[in-house]
Amino acid sequence: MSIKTQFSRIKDRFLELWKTSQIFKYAISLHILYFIISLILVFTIYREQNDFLIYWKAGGVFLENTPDLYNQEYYVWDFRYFPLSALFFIPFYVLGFDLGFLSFQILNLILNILISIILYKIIMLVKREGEKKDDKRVILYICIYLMAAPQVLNYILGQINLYITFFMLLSLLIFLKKEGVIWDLIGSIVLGISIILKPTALFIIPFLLIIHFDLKEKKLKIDYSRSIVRLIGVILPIASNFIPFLLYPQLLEGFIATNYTGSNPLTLNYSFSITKNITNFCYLFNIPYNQLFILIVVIGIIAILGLLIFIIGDFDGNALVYGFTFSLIIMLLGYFDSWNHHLLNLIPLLMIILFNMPSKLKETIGIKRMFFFFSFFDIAFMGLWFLTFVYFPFNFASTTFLILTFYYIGRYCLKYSRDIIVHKSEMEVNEK
Amino acid sequence: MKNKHMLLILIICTFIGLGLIPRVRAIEYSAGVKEGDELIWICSIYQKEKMEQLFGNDWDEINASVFKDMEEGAKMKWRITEIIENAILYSNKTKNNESALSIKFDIWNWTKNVDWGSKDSQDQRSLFKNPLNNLDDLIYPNFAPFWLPVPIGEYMKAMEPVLSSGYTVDGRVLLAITIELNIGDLDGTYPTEYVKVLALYNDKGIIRSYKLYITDHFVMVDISLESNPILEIPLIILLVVLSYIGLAIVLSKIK
Repeated sequence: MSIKTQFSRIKDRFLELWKTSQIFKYAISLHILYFIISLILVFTIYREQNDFLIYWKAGGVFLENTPDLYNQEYYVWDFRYFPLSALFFIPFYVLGFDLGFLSFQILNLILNILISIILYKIIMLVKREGEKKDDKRVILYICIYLMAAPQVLNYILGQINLYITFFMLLSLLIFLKKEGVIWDLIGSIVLGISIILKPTALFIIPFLLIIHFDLKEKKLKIDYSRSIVRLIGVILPIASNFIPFLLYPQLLEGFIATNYTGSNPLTLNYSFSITKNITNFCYLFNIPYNQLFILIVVIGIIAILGLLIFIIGDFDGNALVYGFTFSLIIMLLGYFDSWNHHLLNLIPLLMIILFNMPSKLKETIGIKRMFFFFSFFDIAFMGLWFLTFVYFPFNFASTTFLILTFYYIGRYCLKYSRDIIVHKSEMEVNEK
Repeated sequence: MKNKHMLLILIICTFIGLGLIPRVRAIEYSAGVKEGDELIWICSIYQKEKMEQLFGNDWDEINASVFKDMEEGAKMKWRITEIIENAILYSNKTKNNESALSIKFDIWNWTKNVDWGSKDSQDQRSLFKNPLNNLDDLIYPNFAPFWLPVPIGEYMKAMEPVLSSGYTVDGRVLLAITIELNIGDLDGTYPTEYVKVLALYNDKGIIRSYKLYITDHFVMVDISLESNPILEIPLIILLVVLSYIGLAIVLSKIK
């Protein structure tokens, strides 16, 4: 199907939904309102205090004085991403701040449209048999995603989470829809690009392995060739950062200093990661601590649990959907800074899982609640933190719900998923 | 057709509105506190011997040090007596007279006696209205100023370029200054170990929390601005409990 025909189909569907669906109308209007409000706020109040300013400056520094990319005197807040990510922001820098920001936000808006389309396609692929044939519920959930509160902060801060979500979902769609080694390679390269931009999806790498431990046969099965291709694909873009590191050794020093020896993690903040809640606790009660040790222990525990479930669990051909979700939960719970707008990476994955799991299950209902919490309520608890931080500097609502999400998904993968697969194969045998 | 027109008008209005927004906003700094304000700090941790080991025996005797006679459990009070919004002071940085902000205040030194009695001394602190006119001499003896003009986030950020290396200003979540000192950074000898200071400010420009750490966040000094916990803590508990109950009710309705 040509791009023109596809575009025409999407346009017709859009107009049809606009005419027939009230929620769709609300979602689009509200989303445009978020977009406009963010433009007004950034051009007035937050002109000097937004994240886009850092990306924009990084593009400029990379263009004009590459070895100085990690000289933090250029930035309002630290620039700590891979050097090649700065390449992406050069066009915005060339346009100047105002026009650059406007183009960046328009691109964000377009990305949200693309994300919605990809989400629709993925959900239709993984939707459980027996779910209603029409797509009303899918549209409803996509509308909720467009109205979700983290969208506001993402726009106002000029953040790049939508780029991450877009590349992540695109890679997932490729993995799910296309078969063959070449598509494995392309899918993982796309994922690698998302990691270059921002390492949110870094922990997805081990979940790309095609690995399963059969409890009945007590046998570990690994598809070595495809796993290796996927690893090569994802590492290739990340490794390309070594070219600027080799060309400018000062860059590597700056990257290491900013990411591993900086003082920022010390400051109190409303991050909902377990690591941050622990360091906030230590701050409040003057308990000595080593932040790197806490980081490694927390990530280690959750990552090992996630990987074990991934290896043992049964996923009915959708292992990657669950693997991607596990990895994001590990990142959000483990890394120091997990903010409300990062939830834009997780919410679409939860949505896919909701359509993949049987709707009547206790676990599905639990995840559905988490989905609504992350979409609309987390932001309120961020506000609550500012009122209470002097005595109670813990933003643990999202922490709790992330742990619960991890638990529900894990439980499903280990028990129900296995039952459903067994039941399905029995049915097939009976039919034969 | 009607929708198309509406959308077009909305977009045009937005861009016109954006065009009318003034591009440069001049920031007028002010004192943040007012005459008669009383500020009380409490010291919950003070490792005196370790501090002497880090900075030398008479480290707290230096003029303008807020640490003089400090001990664990003691309190220090300032009462603001005068705000000078248009002071003119000589700047060693520009070598000219520059516009500055000053606060004069009475001091009650660190004491465990809650009946404050009469003041022990008085002092004056000044900062230039243009943050870039300040010197980097915030370093010693307090490491971080106990008062800064408001809007403090903008003042701190504008001041950052004149501060010595090792200073990090962060106004993203909470208004904070982090200071890192390596061995010998002060005069070639002191401090004798790596030291990190984290100073958090309130929106009035007053230091709300001051912690001095050594490696692995062992706290040597912990000072905090006293608030009214009898009123605040129950309110906070109520707020947190109500929020969670509300959330539980809302989520339980989702099936």
